[in-house]
Amino acid sequence: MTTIVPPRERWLVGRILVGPTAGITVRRSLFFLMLFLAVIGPWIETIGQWIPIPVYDPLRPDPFNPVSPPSAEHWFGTDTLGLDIFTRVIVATRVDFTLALIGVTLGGGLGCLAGAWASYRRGWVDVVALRIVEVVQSFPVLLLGIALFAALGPLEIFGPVDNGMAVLVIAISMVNFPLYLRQVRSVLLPLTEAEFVQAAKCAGLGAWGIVWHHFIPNARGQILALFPLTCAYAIQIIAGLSFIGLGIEPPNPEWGSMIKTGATLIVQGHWWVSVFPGAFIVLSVYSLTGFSARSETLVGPGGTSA
Amino acid sequence: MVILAVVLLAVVMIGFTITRSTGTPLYASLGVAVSEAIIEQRAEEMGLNEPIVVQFWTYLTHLLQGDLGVSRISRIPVAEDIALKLPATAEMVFFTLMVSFIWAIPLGVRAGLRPGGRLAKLGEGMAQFGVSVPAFWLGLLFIFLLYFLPPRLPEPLGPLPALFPPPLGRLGGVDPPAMVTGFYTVDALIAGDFRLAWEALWHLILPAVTLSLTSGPPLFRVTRTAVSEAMASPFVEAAYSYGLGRRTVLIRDVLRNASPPVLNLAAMTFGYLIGGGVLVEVVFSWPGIGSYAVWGMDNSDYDVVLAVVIIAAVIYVILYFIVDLIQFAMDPRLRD
Amino acid sequence: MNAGPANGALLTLSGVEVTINTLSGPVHPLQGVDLEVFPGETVGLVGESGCGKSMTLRSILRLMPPGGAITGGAVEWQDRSVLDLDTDELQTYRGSDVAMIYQNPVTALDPMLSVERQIVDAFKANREVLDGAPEEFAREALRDLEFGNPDAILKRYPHQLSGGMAQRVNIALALACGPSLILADEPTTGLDMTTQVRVLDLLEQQVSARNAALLFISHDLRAVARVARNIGIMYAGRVVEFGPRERILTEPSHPYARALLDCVDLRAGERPRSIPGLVPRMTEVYQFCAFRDRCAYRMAVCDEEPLPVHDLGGRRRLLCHLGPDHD
Repeated sequence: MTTIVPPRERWLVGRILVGPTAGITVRRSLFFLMLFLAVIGPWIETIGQWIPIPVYDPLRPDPFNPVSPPSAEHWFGTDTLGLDIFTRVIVATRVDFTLALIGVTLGGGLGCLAGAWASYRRGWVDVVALRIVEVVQSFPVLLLGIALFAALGPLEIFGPVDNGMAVLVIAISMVNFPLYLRQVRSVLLPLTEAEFVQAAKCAGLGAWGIVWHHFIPNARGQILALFPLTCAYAIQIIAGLSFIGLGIEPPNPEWGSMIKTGATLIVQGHWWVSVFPGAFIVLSVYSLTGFSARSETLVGPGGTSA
Repeated sequence: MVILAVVLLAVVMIGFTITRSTGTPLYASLGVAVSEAIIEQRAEEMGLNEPIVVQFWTYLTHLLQGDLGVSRISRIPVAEDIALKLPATAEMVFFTLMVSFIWAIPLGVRAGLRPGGRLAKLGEGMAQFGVSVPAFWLGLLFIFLLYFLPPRLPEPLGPLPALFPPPLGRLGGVDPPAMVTGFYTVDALIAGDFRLAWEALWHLILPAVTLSLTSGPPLFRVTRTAVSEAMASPFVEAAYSYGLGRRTVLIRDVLRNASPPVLNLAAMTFGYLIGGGVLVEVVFSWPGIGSYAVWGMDNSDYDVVLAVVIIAAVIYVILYFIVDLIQFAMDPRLRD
Repeated sequence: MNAGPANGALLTLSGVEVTINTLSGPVHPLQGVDLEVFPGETVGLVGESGCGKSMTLRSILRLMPPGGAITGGAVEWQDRSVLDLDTDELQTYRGSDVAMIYQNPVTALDPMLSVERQIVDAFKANREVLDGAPEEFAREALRDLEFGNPDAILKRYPHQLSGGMAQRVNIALALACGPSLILADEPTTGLDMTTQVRVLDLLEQQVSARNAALLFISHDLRAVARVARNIGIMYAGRVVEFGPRERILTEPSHPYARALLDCVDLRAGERPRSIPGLVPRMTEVYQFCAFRDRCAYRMAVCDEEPLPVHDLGGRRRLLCHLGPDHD
């Protein structure tokens, strides 16, 4: 058996983000634009005072200006309460990105650990882990979210944290846990027999030592490839649940709930209320999935090569 | 079979635990502003003071007898509602797959045979689009485009009025056909009412196209990969070398070897969409189990939510099992 | 040099060039292959892996990998140009005139189809009139290859066959088409030693029983020597020396052929040798001799003039500046 040498690539994340690859530069700049918007989101009003872009308080209604179409004053128009959609779409970027990030990191992190543990222990631990994953995955994502909201929604058990956001994060974690567990397991299971792992065991390295020094470096590439993809997926789930009124409640800006506001208006021809937030979802997901394609080429079969 | 039973049991258990264990149903069903006494009385009625294991046992035994509880709002047994709504969802999902079979699979085959060709690029573009776009938003866009962007004629005539009445719901204000299969299109044909069948089909098109565009990309990609892998295998070259024609090799070797993963995914997509089409059902006012679950959620009718969650998961698990059987039947390598 | 049908050759390759466009640029696996095969004779081609042996067989069948094309030279079957055949003619030519046996016997069979279906389909594609049920022919085809219980084998699927059995099925398939030339692409490489001998014997015996010609390629000079009456040595996409077996095995003229022979010549107590230098990269088109960097006899002319073709009569041909009579 050939020894599989753990990739010792430095700055893999950095190279995925900015390394040279022809063809997907549009996507990459799109991603940085979304990232930029997510960072400045809450301060957009302050920034608006310095540069000539018409931004408003995302939460202050303008009763004299409801449902006005896109114009120079309101680039993306206003909704039923007269809230400026352009401002709100940008503020919502932060909300959606952050929730997706937290949920995926939490669920994905636990999934990775569980996957590493299952591949290390093998035997019944592995079998049980796989069965659990199968069962969790047989629930359709959105119905799982609905069930979670049915159970946890009315409770205020998360203290200062907004209840809806907390349940969203839990839902995202539950969806991601099995994905990461499976991915990590598929990489690591063949490795437990590999010579360098056996050598490490002989050298007296403990379970967590092996997981830390050998498993994590080997699975890292796969996890990095999965991460942007699952974040994109999470954004869709968050928006979807908010669209049926679960999670982030109006008037707090969130893409899905903004689309919900516009859903009743679109049949009257007022398209802008729904269209712009939806377009932002599309752009985010599109830019994120581009990274996944990129990390796959970086860490694809045959190791890392840029 | 034993594994199937265990997985089903676990599915019911997890669904049950998620929805019921936290003790919220009382607040959910009664609101927070009721006296302790009333809560206590209701809890006793609903058997909520029993240990959770006993509650689960009660639920499970009822479930096995086809009793999914009673809707708190409508007072109709949940099982009856589901029997009405599940066919609606199934019909929508079935037509979704039909639409996917029309675009995703042929394009996937083509892309596998001619990578880099025009149709391959078209398919990849559609897949990119379908993956990025949220289904519910796409549905809204379709509704908007169909009703509010009527074709415009040259100036003196100006814009035409909207061509179509909104095809929301399953039928536009007509009585449904006599229930046989629960598929309105099929039932209407059985009843010999072609106008009604057309009406039902017309209402199906938008939801099916929306769901197909967003759930079809994996089908496209898996077909493409499977076909190009089959094309690259030595046995395909060998078949050519024996003088077999292109068409023969395509059907006999390439498509046959590429079909198991594609059929597998198609079945999984069907199972997934039974519960995964919730948002599209809501957008198109489709009276399926997804809308039913959202309705139950909005009314804190937790037996409804639980029932839908469990039904959807059980259908998925059973399909998973059937898919295994199909694979088994198709691939001689698995039969040994 | 272009032999054509006048000399009665079954198959004539003259100056065949193949280019494959890959993601990392064009590759030129064949750079002017000359070869003739006469009716009923056995020809062997030997060379290192990557020298273009398999590609030569594929160019004979016009089966190019994705991105690959025959970019120069001519392939002639009797008096017809294979490169000018239309789709229908090509289908008839493949199988009925020339059939191929592949290197990996298991993957060359469709895993989803029974042995019977595969043989019967090959029959139907190549024989217009069958007097009798094709199943009967299939059974007969297997019996020819010494399958004791052909009926049981016909019902099997490829994964249920051992390597040796699968290769015999492949040979039966190729023979079933009734070709006058069989191409064999290292047909025994994946098999264990004893099976190799048996499969080779069967192949030889069946080919000669049908008066078919055999073009056999291998990196294993001994296997080729066993089967072939005439042997060609390939290097960097060209046949650098061709001649009768006795001549090639005893006193080859080309320095590469000598080196190759030295590698195989394991007299008692001697360790196998290897040829110094690197295997040529086929991303390059070689203007001059591709072997000169590794050649012990390199001369000034090797760097100045393209390879001369010495036609020495009696099927002998040599591509080297040294000429046939050096020492």
